[in-house]
Amino acid sequence: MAKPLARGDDLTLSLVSEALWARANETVPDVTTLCNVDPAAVPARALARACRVLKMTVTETRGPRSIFPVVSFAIPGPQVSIQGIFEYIDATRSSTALRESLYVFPIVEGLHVVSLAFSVGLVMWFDLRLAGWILKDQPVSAVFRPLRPFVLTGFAITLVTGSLLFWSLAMRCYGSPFFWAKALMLVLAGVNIAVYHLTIERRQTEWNAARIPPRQARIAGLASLTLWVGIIAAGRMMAYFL
Amino acid sequence: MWDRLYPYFLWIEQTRLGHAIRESKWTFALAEVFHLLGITLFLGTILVLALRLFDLVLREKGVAETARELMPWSMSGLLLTLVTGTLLFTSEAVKCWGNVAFHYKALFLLLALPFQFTALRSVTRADRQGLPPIVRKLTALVAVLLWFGVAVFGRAIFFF
Repeated sequence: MAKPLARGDDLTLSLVSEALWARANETVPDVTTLCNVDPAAVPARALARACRVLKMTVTETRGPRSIFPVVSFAIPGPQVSIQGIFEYIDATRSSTALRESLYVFPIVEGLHVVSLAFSVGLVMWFDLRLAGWILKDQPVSAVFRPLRPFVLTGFAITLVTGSLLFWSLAMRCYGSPFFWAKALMLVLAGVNIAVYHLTIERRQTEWNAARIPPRQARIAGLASLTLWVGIIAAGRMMAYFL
Repeated sequence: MWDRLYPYFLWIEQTRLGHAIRESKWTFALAEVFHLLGITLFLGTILVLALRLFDLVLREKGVAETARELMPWSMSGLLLTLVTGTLLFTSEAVKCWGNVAFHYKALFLLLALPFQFTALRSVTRADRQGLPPIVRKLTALVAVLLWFGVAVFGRAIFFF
């Protein structure tokens, strides 16, 4: 993140040198550096020249215009890095506001944890039935269908609150190995669900009433169960070490 | 009342066990992980049981039968939660003593535990005698509210 320019700074010189330095050192290979500039402090011609030299564009104007208008510049680079995206999220106003809020953050976090009982706590019964461990005298569909609306509601709450938590703590997530482990397991859980729906579930009428479902369905159930345990564990560790 | 309890909380925190957990970063973190896994397992079971008592799921299977099949899972979840919860409490008893959220959690827990093993248990076992649906639903609702109260105030301890 570039330092904000002060009133009276030579905009052209400062921006050019900063961009050249960053490019030369490859510290910011994509140069998506954002500069906060007070336009009132900068002559319009100098601003235009800096834009031309650096091939940059004014991307955003924000702030209470009448008092201290702030213009943000983005210097386009060849690629966008993951770190850059995380940094961008972390620097947004909504992220900061959520992070520092007195009541919203605890409520979002509390909801995230409690909704686990509805999402994972309920989908686990379906997984256990798929694995052939419980409720064997009930058809698979009789276990899943009535649970589905509650499971889906639970996952919707978990997902929304989880995204908000990520949004507010993007840079801390970036540096946490538990976050990446959790993200990986979430992707795997999604793949597992997709594979299940596209393959073995297509033939569910054949084995719906079976006490022990076919091997592929059992594997899908156990994989889901294992992944959710891992996701909860990684999530809790992540929260502990943030 | 809380003032009089202070020496006991202090004593718990100063036991060797409390000291050991407090000193080891990983033990505390792992206890938190298993605490949350136990909660998910237990609350998940309570929810399914409540949905069954509301006749929303597993309608083909009797309430008593369902409860019997869920029992090993709910009790393992509860046991895991209680054991890890005790470990966590031991390591920071004095902090809990002065924490409003913990006071409410303790209250809800002291109500939820007896309710679980008296009211909820007798309702799930009295399947065949045909209790009026309103009694079954009310019992299920109270159990869910009590246990979720424990969970919510437990999470709140961190923020006070």
